[in-house]
Amino acid sequence: MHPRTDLELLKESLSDLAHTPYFNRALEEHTQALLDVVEHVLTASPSYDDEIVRQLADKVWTTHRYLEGSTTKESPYEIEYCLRFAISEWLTRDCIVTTALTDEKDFHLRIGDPWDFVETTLDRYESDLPQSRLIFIGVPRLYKSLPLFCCALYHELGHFVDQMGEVTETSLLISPIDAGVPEQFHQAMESFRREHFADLFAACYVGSAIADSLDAVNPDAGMTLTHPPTQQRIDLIRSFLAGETFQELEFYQDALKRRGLPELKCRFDIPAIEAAFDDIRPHVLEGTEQLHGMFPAGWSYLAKSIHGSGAAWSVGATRLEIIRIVNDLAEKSIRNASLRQLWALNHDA
Amino acid sequence: MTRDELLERLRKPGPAGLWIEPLLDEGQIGEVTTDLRLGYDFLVSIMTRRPYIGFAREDRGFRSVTSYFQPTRRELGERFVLYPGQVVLSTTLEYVALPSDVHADLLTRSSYTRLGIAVNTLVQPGYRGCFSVELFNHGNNPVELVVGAKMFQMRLTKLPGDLPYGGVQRKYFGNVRPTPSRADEDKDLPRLLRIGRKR
Repeated sequence: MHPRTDLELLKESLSDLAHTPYFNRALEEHTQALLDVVEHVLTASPSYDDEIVRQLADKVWTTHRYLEGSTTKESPYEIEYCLRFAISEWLTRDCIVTTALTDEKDFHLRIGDPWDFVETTLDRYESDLPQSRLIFIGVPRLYKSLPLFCCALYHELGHFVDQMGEVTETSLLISPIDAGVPEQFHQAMESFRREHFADLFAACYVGSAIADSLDAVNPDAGMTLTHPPTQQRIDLIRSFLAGETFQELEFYQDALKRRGLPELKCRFDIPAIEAAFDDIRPHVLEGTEQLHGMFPAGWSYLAKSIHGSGAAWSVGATRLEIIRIVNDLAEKSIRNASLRQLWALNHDA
Repeated sequence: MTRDELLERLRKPGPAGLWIEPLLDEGQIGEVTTDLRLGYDFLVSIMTRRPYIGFAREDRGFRSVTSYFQPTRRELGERFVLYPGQVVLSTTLEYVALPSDVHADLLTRSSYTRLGIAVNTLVQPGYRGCFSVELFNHGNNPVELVVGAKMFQMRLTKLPGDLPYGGVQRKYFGNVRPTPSRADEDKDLPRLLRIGRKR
C-alpha cells in the first residue's frame, strides 16, 4: 500500500533488531546490509521508480519477518541442525537458515533474501552485499518441540532444491507429459511431479518417516489440482525405499545428473534407539546419517508405543504423553550430537 | 559417592547404572562431585497485569503459572543475563539417568554462589532427565551467564536399597527443558481452599 512508509517502518524495526542483545551474530551482516539498502533507496536522488520501491519493500518485509523470528530465540534448532547437513549436500553456496514460528498449519522452506533483486535492480547501489544466502523456514508454533513432526521440512527442502536446480523442468524435457493428457491438466501434472520429487528427496533423508508423516496427516486425501492422492505418494516412497526402479525415478535421476546435482539415494542410517528410549534416555547418535535416521527410528518407536507394544513406561500413558516424551528424547539425542560436534570443533581454538 | 564409585556406575548397564550425556569433558568428574553445565533453554519470569500468581483455579482471573514465564533458547557458548530479583528456570546441559539406589544433590559451584546465585536441589533415585534448576540472582548486579559453563556440581549419595522413581505419573518425568511450577496442580489445594472459605 505505502511502500516508502513501509520501508521507513521496516528500517526502524531492523535498527531495533540489530541492537537486541539476543541477536544471532551470523544474521547481523544481513540486517546491516538491509538497513544500508533501505537507507540508500529512501534517500536516492533521483528517486527509484515506485514499482522498484514496492518490490523491495515486499522483499525486505519478508526477510524482516524471519530475522525477527530468529531473535525471539524459540527456534527448533535441532531440526535446523539436521537440515543444514542436507542443504550442504545440495547447495554449494553458504546458506544461513532462519526460522519463524507460524500460526499456520503448514511447514515451508524458501529462499527469499533480497540480494539478487538488489544486485540486478538497484543499479546505483554500490556497497558489497552478503555472500551467504538466507533460507527461510516456517514451523507451526504448536510443533516447535515436536521435531519428529517436522520431518515435512525435508519435503519442503526437496521443493527448494527442485526450484533452485530446475529439476522438474529438466525432467519435463526428458519425459514430457503424455500428449494424450488434455492441456488444462498439464499444470496439475507438473505439480504432481514436483510433489513426487519432493517426496523422494525427503525419503532420501528420513526414509519411511515421510510416508508415516503423510499417513498421519490424512491417509485418504484424494487428488487435487496441486497434490496427487496421498496413497499414491506413499506407494511411490515405499517403492523407492524398497530399492525398486521405476520410470519416474529414472527421469529424476537423469535430470539431476544433467543439472550436476547429486542422485536420489538413501542418505540415512537408522540408529538402534530402543534400549535407550525404553530406559527414557536419549540415544547417542553417531555421524550425520544417524541424525537423519533419527526420524524414521523415532516414528517407528512412536507407532509401537502408541499401539500398546512399547516400553514399560508407556503403559498407562496417554497418546499425547507418549508423543511428547518420544519427541523430547529425539530432540535431546539430536541436540547432544550437535553439542558434541561444537565442542570437538572448537577444542583447539 | 567417590570418583571411583561413580566411574564404576557409569560403566554399568541397567537400573544400577549411571548415565550422563553429553559428558563433554571427563575432567567434570571430581573426587566427590561431578560438574554439570548450564543448559540452553530458559523460562524467564515476566511481570503481568495480574498482581500475584494465584493457585486457586476457581478464582476469576486465574491464569496458569506458565503465563508468568517466557521461553527463550540459546546455543552453546551464547550468553544469558540474569538480573537481580529475577526468577529464571533452566536445566543442566546434561541429561542424567540416576541409578535406582542413588539420589543426587545439585548445588551451584562456589564461584557462582559468591556472585549471589544459589541452587540447591534434591533429585530422586531413578530420575531421568535434565536436572531442573531455578536460578535466582540474590546479588545487586546483573550476571552474564554462558550456556555450557560449569555452573553446578552434583553430589551422589548411595541409599541402602532401590527406590524406583516411577513413570509418567511423576511430575517432571524425562525433562529436556525447564518446566514451570505445577504448584497449582497440588491435589490438596481444593480441600485447603474449602477449609479456608468456611472460616
